[in-house]
Amino acid sequence: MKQLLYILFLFLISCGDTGTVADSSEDMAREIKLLRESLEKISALAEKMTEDYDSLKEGLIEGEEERTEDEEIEADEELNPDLIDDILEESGETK
Amino acid sequence: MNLLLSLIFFSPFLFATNIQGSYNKCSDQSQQALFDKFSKFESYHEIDKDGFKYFKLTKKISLNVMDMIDSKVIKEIKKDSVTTTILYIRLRPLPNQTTLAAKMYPRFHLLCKSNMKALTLSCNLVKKLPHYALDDFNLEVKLSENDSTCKKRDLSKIEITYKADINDQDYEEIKAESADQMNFPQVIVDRLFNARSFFEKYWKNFFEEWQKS
Repeated sequence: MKQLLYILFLFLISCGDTGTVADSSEDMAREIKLLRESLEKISALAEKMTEDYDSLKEGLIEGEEERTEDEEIEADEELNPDLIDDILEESGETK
Repeated sequence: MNLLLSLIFFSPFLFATNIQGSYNKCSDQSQQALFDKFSKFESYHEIDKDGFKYFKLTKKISLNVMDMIDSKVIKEIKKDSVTTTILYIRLRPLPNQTTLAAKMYPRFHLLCKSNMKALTLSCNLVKKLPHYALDDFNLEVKLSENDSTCKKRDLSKIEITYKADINDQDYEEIKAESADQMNFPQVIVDRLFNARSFFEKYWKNFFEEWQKS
């Protein structure tokens, strides 16, 4: 968010340097209004990006937790290869 | 004393809900095509990847109550025309409504024998291997030529029978945790978690999708 404001600040400075900001007070008021609207849009966008990032991060953490839990269960229920062979043998199949 | 003896004798049956059903269907696919499909164990979990929408609130809103997330071949042996497979199946209850711990996912191992000459498939739950929510499961699939009950354009007839013993204690555990997370009224929870009707309908839906896939 701070970075966005800083970019906007630089943009304003650069506009002033190149003389694109209107001279008359009426034009200046219109420019300020436009800039304010742009700033609001940027703020809303930044807010949404922050939310998206948070939810993405949360999702990633949940995914990691689930994987870890799955791995734990797999480790708990790890199958003994000899037992598998025995079961197949009992069912009438050879190893 | 009699009561005690009765309890001891019947105790194994107190914690299990038995379901059984059958599914008969004529198909316009050949027997061989159907057999090949039924023998692709690794793709079983893709059959109901959209989940099973059993509980319908309205025509448009329904709850996805279960989907299969794993169908993994542990070991496979081919001998003549018979393939014997140990298959691991894992189901996920209420995938979009709850975040149940993975230990509460129903899971079990099946020993399946598919006979490519007789075009039959039979699977039985391996009780010696880890299982949760289901204590027993048996599946028989038989493919034959179309008969008088089928339409002329049909090429095959599918006959499926299945039996399952649901472990009531495990099921209650899933039910309690899900109900707690969903915060639903009791009347809905009871309907949603009726093990017998749910599993009967789940498997019928699964076989329906299976033959269509």
